[in-house]
Amino acid sequence: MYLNDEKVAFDEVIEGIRGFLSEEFEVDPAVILAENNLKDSLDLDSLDYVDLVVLIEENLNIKVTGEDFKDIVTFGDFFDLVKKKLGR
Amino acid sequence: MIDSKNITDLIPQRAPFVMVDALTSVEAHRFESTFLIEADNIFLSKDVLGESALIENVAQTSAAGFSMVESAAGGEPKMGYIGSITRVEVHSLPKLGQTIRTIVEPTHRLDNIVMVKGSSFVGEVLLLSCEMKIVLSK
Repeated sequence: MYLNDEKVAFDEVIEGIRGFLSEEFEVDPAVILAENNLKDSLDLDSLDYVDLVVLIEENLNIKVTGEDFKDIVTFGDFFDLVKKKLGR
Repeated sequence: MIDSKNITDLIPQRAPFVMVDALTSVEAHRFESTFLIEADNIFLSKDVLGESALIENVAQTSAAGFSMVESAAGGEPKMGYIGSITRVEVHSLPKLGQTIRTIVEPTHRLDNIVMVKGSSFVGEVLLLSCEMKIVLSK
C-alpha cells in the first residue's frame, strides 16, 4: 500500500513536470514521455538549460547542477533524477 | 573598488562603448557599479541616455563582477558575454550629468552560463530592471 501511494504521488509530480515544461518550452505535453529525448523534444540549447534549472527550482524546490545533467538523455532519466533529488 | 582605469581589464569593451566607471562592491552574490553620464556618451540623445546603454551597463557590471570574483578565487579572469536578455522593464531614462548605480545579483548558474537579475538607479529612482544570461568564457 505504501509503495502504491508513493507511485501515485510521484505520478502527480510527473504530471506537474509535464505541465510546466510544455508551457515554458511551448511543446505538446504528449511529447513528454519517458522514452523521448529531452533535449530534442524541448529543442533545448545551452542557454535553455539554465531556464530548466530555474523551473525545476521554482516548481519542485530542488537544485540541480551541470553535473546532474551529464547522464540525462530521455525524460525518463530526468524523472529519475527528480525522484532521486526528492528522496523518493 | 575597481575604477575606470582598470575596469577595461575586466570587460572586453573599449571606449566609447565602456558603460561602467567603477565597481564599488563585489561579493559572490551581488555586484554594484557606478557610471557617470558624460557629454561624449554615444548613447545620448537630447541629453537623455538610451535604454540600450542601460542594458549594456547591466551586462558590463555583470561581466566585470564575475571577472573580479574569478580573480579573487585564484582563477584567470573570465570575460562575460550576453547570452540572452529577458523581462526588461524600463521605468525611467537618466540624463546627462547623472550617475547611474547598478546592482547585479546572480541567481542561477549552470557551468559557464549564469542567470542574473540587474537593476539600475539614479539615487533611489529605478531606471531599468531585467534578467540576463551571461556566458563566461571558458
